[in-house]
Amino acid sequence: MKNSGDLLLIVDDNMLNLQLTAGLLKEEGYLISLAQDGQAALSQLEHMLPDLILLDIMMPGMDGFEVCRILKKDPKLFEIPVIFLTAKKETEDLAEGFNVGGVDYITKPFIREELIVRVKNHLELSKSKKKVIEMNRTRDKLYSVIAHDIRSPFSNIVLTLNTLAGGFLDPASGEFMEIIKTLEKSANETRILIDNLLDWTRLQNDNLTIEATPNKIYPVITQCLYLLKGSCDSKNIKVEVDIPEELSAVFDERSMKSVFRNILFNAVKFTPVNGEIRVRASIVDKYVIISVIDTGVGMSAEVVRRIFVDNEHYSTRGTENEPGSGFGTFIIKDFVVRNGGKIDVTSIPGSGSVISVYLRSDSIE
Amino acid sequence: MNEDINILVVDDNQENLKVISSFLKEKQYRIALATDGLSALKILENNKIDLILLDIMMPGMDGFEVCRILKEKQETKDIPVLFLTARTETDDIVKGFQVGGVDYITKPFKKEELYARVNNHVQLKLVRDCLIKSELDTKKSRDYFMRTLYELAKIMERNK
Repeated sequence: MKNSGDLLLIVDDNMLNLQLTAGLLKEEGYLISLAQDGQAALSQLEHMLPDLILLDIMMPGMDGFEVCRILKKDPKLFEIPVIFLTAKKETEDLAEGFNVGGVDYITKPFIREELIVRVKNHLELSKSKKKVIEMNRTRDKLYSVIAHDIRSPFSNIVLTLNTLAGGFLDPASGEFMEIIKTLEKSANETRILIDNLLDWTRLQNDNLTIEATPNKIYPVITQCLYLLKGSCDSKNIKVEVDIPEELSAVFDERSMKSVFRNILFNAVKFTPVNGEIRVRASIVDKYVIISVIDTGVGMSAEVVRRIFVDNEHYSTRGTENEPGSGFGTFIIKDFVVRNGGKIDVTSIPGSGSVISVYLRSDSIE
Repeated sequence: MNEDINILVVDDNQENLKVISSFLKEKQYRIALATDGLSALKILENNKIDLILLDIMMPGMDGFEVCRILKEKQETKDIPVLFLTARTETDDIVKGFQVGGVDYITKPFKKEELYARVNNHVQLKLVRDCLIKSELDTKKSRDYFMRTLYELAKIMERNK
């Protein structure tokens, strides 16, 4: 059905009007929620975000203007377009309707086409506006990543190489080796960032195809850990992989490699010197669960919610001031879902985190 | 911003033209006027028009006919048309939507209604244009970004 998914809230004290309006819009494929007075509308809006509101002006108790005034002050609601429904004799009040933030009005009794066209236009207007903002934000994000996250580690690498090339250090000295190790670590971390950006950019272009097939888990994990060896060594982090070599699950290798690369990268990033990271697998029902357990700094429930539930871009520096772009968690969430899996996070601030990835088991088809 | 928006007003009644243009001028829109359908189509051939306010009842070609013609032309089919009509003429209102009008404004004109409807459709047009441009820009910068990243990844691969 056309328009399906768009939710409209209709507020009118006249039951007959409500039913008539709702009927016409339902035929167009909209989802409808009804309220018979302002108070009822406002309490519905506490736990529901419609895409558009049709609001009667003359209602007993709180009138439509008052309702509109209140919701235009609410940061969660102020962007929802409000179209007033007005009786012919009230057209003098129109100015007030626009003053309080209405985008349009429809005179009752209304003409079907008029109702449908206005609703459609205002939905398109508000959605397109949001989309433009979203696209600009995406672009800004791209530029800021280029500016900071790639440029700065590269500058460091180049600077260090310049120093080495200057020939002031004895290549046989311990200090020289130390610097080489740091270089390797920076290069590997930058490489992970570039891979993330590649995957993310491809995802934005919708070119990334997910082909979930039965794959072995162990080699994916060890390949990811290989890239992180330098980082683990420099922080003296012990890594233990406890996964049967033959264990497999249904996933797309390329995208899940991204996921594990990022989970492990975060685990290393947030685990202090001399810590420990364990990777384990278990089978529960139809799922193979791969858990990454670290003795890191952990996250508060608030941070977990912000990252994994609210879909926020969230970025913090690691225990040794390692940089972040916020892409890692974004990729983890998105790719796991695309692989038909899910993710579970348990974390205790100060003692560590357990990130569990649920993938479909290939034993049941 | 409104000074970049060209609105064509078509009405055979001079008085109506005067009222509408004085309202629109207050909001700094740029205005073109026509008193019949043919001259309206002529103006559309030679000017960039962002929105049309179109009277229905006119001698010669009526508003519906004008709308139908410009909806058939590639260059003019995306220009939003708002009909000027009496609220009581329900049939006209319905027909206006059928021939491709996006909305209507009732006579006698009320300032607030005119401003709101015009602004809504100007916004809609602007945001559509912006979306197309933004999509192109974003795609271009993404493509460029991706190519650069590929190169970078290749260089690092080689140096391993």
